[in-house]
Amino acid sequence: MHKAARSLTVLAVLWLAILCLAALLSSWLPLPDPLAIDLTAALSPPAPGHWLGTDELGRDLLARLLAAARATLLITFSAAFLNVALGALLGGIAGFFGGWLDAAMSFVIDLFWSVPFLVFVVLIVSITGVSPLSLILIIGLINWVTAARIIRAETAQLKGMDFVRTARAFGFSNREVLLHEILPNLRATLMALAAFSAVEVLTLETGLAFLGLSLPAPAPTWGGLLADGLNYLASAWWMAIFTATVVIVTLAALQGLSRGLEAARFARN
Amino acid sequence: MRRRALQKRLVRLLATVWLIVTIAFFCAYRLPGDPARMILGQRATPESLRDFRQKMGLDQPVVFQYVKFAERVLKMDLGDSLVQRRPVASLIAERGGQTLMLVSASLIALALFGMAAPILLHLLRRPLVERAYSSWWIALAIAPPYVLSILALLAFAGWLRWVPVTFDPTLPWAWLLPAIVLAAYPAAVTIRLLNSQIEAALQSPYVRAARAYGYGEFDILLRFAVPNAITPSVAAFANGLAFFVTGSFFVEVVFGIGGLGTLAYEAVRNKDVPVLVGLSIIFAVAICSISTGLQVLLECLDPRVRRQHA
Repeated sequence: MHKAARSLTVLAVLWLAILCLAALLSSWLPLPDPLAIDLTAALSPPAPGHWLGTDELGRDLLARLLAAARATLLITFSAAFLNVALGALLGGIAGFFGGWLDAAMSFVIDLFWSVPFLVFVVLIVSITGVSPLSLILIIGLINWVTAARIIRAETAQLKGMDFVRTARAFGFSNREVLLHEILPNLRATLMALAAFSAVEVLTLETGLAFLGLSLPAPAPTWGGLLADGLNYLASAWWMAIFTATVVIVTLAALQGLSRGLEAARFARN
Repeated sequence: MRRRALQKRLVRLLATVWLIVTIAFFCAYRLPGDPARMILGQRATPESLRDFRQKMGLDQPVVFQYVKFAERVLKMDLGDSLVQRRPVASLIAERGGQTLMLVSASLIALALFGMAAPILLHLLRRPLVERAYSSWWIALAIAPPYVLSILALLAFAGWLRWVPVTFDPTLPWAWLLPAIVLAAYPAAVTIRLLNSQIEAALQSPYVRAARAYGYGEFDILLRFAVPNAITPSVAAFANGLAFFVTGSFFVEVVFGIGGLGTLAYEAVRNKDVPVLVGLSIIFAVAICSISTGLQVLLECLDPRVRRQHA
């Protein structure tokens, strides 16, 4: 890998690690309670005590950003994991067994590919209501098609390779071949897909939250903080700027990570 | 041959539309929750709920409900909005113009900044300028539309005061900022693809042959490199159409453009399910039809694509 590209990937991983750590430890960090209302400090600009300023109810923005990061990252990583797991399962089965199973699965994949499910997410979420679990399930069940397509193609390619044929000749069962010969070879692809999927999920989740379709009010979300920032754009620039920065840097880091994993995958093959 | 390919595409499109209607039905009627209560709202009386169930056939078997739903959708009868007490179809017709305006302005911006500019920059032969230009758009595209529009509004309306904070649809230049924001993501994709494709084409044997024939650089670029480079970027745009269209939602909400995106936003706030169902169907069908149209166009333009699908 290129040296500059590698250091960018390291930076990306570093940011994600710091963010995850800060989000996990946010209750123990010396920060105000993210839900504590203090109207005397409402809409105060960044200053010692409130490093990133406060919102219209005097709640500390840094504490809210970190509390939101916990929920947002949990949803993002779980839904991305679900996407890739589902894609790997369906794509792997289609690519490995071939025949009518592949034809049927490819048909389903094609249908899912051509229906713009993105449009229905808002409808589904507004009807079912919001909890972290329902968000993970809805986003996770909708976004698996890219992963399924790529895994299907790779599995079909691996299936014809010598080491898989050898394993078959030794009499290994389908399950053993899939788990011990094919799956390890898909690891790099799966990781790249997971990072890529996380970018999409985070974009989608934050967008939903921006529309008010994520965890209900007092619980902070990045999208909700962006919407608050938009409401107070003229009087409190820090709300929009800092939240936008955190969202952008995190998305950039995930994208960098996905590029890095992709490059590593190509370098290996 | 081409006719058969066209027929196949059409059948596929119809199947997709049917699927969209089915999904919309399941969202509206079969997701956990009482559709009558959802559609009439929380304050509905038991009598009106009963009447509604009878009228909509909710006491009938599912298949019957489904057929009725499909029938109404085909007749463009999308029901009434709960809040505005008006047909959803007429609401959509009324607000659609603004969205169409935004999307067209954005397509013009995309053609200018995402296609014309990178091609012209190639003629300048300044690799540094080219790199800077494409990096700029790629960096912009990292931010999702809702983040980018907030930042654009803050910078140009809040600090620089070049545009008013409240959106005025009668001012032509007021559309400029939202159009560019919406075009940022597809522009980044097309710029990257165009650059790599043009680069590849310029090193190909046929361009070398054209150089040997004595064509000028301008001719070579426009006649030989660009036509080959343009189809992949159009295909990429067709693939990302859903993202582009949903992006227009957010851009509208942030800038306060009164189109379909704001309509959807209001519907989400008010739990106005019929409006959301109608909008989902309209948007999904529009995205599918446009992307099918673009694919047919590509097949007409590019023999390589045609052969791929034959």
